[in-house]
This record gives sequence, C-alpha cells and structure tokens, in this order.
Amino acid sequence: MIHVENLKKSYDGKEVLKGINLSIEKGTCTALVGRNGSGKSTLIDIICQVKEANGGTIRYDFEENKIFDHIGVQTQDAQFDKRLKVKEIINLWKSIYGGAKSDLDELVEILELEPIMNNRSDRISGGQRQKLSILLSLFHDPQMLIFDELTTGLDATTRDDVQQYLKMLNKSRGKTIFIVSHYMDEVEALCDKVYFLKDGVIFENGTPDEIKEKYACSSLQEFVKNCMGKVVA
Amino acid sequence: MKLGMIKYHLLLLFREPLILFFGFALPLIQLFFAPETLTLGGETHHFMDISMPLSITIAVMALCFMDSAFSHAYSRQIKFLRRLRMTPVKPVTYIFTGIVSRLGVVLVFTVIFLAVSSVIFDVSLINRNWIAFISMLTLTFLMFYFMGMFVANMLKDSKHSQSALFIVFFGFIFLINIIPALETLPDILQSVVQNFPVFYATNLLQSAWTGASLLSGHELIGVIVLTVIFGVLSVKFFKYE
Repeated sequence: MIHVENLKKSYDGKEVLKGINLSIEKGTCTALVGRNGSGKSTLIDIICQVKEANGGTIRYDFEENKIFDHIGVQTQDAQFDKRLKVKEIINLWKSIYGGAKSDLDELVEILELEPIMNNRSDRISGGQRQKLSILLSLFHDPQMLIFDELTTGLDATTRDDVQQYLKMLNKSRGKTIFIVSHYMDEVEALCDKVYFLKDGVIFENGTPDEIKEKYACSSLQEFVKNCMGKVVA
Repeated sequence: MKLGMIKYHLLLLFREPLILFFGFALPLIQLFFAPETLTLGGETHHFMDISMPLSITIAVMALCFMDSAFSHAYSRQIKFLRRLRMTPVKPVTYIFTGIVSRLGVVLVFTVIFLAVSSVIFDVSLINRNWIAFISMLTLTFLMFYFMGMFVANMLKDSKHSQSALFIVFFGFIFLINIIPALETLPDILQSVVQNFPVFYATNLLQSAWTGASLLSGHELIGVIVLTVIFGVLSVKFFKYE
C-alpha cells in the first residue's frame, strides 16, 4: 500500500533517516519501533507529506495528491482547541469530509464517547482524547490508518480497549494499520510485521515470530533489551 | 467543507472575551462618551465623522489582527493545525474561510454600529458613498488580517508570536487614540504617526465616510501596498506548527 525506498532526511546537517526501506502491505498491521528521537515521527510526517525528504522515494497505491482521502492519521501530541466541545470537533470533521462515511453512531458507542459529547476538549481524560483521535481518523472510512504512539499514557484498561478495537479494525474490517509504539506486548499482539529503527536505519524487520526465533528471544521486549540498547521507550 | 470551517472560525471568535470586548463592546461604549463636535485645525467637525472610522478601525483590528492571529498562533502551539493538515483542508481554505468569517462579522458589526449611531446620535446615513466605504472597510480589513497572520507566523515559537501580537495591537490602540489630537504633537512625531498602517486605515475610512477624495493622500496606496506585501508574506511564511 505504501512503499518507502532509500528515504533520507537531515535536520541542520544531521542525518536523522539514512536510507529507510519499508513496505506497508494492504490489510496488514505494521509497527515501527525505535528509541525516542530515532526519527519515527519524522518518517510518519514524510509519509503524510507534512515534511519533505532529502532523498529517496515513496510510492502510494492510491492517488498521491489525495492521500488523506485514503489515510486516517492520529498524530502524537496533537491537541484539540480547548474552546471547542467534543461534538463541535466531530461536526468540524463532518464538514471537512462532507459527512461521516463510517457509521458514526456505532463508532461513538464503541469508543464510549457519548457521555462526553458536550464536554470541552480540555476537560476530557487522556484516554478519551485518544479515543476521539481514533474516531476522527476513521471518519472518512479510510483504507489505511496511521497511529503515532496511540496508547502512550493510557491506563491498562483503556489501552486494552483501544488494542481490541484496532485488532477488530484490522482483522474484521480489513483496514491497513501502521503504528508507532513503545509497547512490545502491543506490537506482538497486533502486528504482522515490525520494523526496528536505530541510528537512522532499519536495524531489523520481520514478523514478531521471525525476529524472536532469529535472536532466540522469548519476547520482542527481550529482543529490544538485548539487541537494540537498553531502552526503547 | 468551507461552511464548516467558517463555523469553526466563528465559534472560536465568539468564545474569546478579549476579542468580544475590543471588537464589539469598546467601540460601542466609546460612542456614548463622544462629544458632539470636535475642533481640529480651526475647523469644527461632527465628532462622529472622526469617531466612526476610529471605532470601526478598533473593531477591525480586534477581529482581524488580534483574533485571527491569536487563534492561528494558539492552534500552532497546540498542534491542532498539524492535525488539521492531515485532512483534506488546504492552507488556502483555512485562510479563505478565516477571512470570510471575520469579514462577515466586521460587516454585521458595522451595520449595528451605524444603526446605533443613527438612532441614538442622529448620524445621517443619507448621501454616503456606501460602495467606497465598504470597499475601504474590506481593504483595511485585509491589511490587518494579513499583518496579523504574518506576525502569527513570523516567529518560530508561537508563544513569542502571541507576545509580539499583544505589543503591536496595544501600540496600534495607543496610536488610534492619539490620532484625534495629532495636531498637538511635535512635527517629528506627527510625521512618524502618519506613516503607521493604523493612520492609513483610519484616514481612508474617514475619507470614505465623509465623501472626501480617496486619492488626495497617500493612504490608499499605502494600504494597498501593505495588503499585498503582508498577503504574500503571510502565505509564504504560513506555519502549521
């Protein structure tokens, strides 16, 4: 669905991405893992055409100039205007996409957003904010979803709820999902393929089982600890 | 999409108490403290002919310069614009709907202001050149809008942009309030003040309101040039975050 080839990006002469190769296949859930500052968000920004690469190519299996008709994105740290209520943000998205193409009522029910529809966006919890982000990214029923640290900062129960929902979207509804995560249990539970980013290059990639087998690790967390440095998160 | 974006800009505007005060309340309050006549350079003027452009300029500055720019800087700061960027909304749509929504508010405010002036203060609305007045109001609006957007985008950090906006806005408010007493200032200060955008704006609106020639001074050219310059700069330096 998206094919990244030899992608390079520098900031002030410092090379952050040094020739990234990565493929996100249709209907799969793919993860990108790396330490803070390793260039994960930069890579997402380049894929989403927010930033320009210094080299390399990205091929999309859809119209390149209309990527947001096909991709739904949740971005790290993006907040909503505190002067707006939840329902007003949803209405804004409705107008942007000419109405919700997904079943909005169902989404609101699954994501348990109904009780907070009249709350101002600065008066909802972090978990509710993430759920609202998911709803907005699904608004136009895109073929592909990109989530940048979607479950970071959520409590265990909410994280589990969000993971279950992502799994349903991927397995039952065939959505292609690309996630950036620091939680290896999440990556193992959700993803068909994982890319490990280290020092600006893809250090390793494969299915979680392939990687565990290759490095004789019992979990991806162990692989990360032993092979990628002490801490990923 | 455009209607939704216009509604978005309006919702934010009507939830900013500071903007509502400077954009609506203050110009109307000033009406009630205005003397009937004012003598400038030996000539006696109906005070409304002086006050009207000043009050409308304050409203325009609050609604365009302050509100649009503050709103933009704040949206940059919280990365809401970054989120919006990952939707089909283009910068041109964001800017266009920002202009249309605020221009609509400015025009409605002007109608209310004129109605109050006419009913309570007997200001004559007959024999006015409305086309010239609305054209100059729109041009002035655009100049302040683009100036505000430029300041909001100019600095790397949006918090500094907000500080810069405060300084410029209150500087303009100060200048507006000394314009009626301009002739009492030393010559050098007069020539400085006369080259500020806020002076161009008030003089242009005053000329359009009183039916004086718009081409007699350099204000029209000044406003057009500043609008074009800041329009280009605000698009060129448009920042999402």
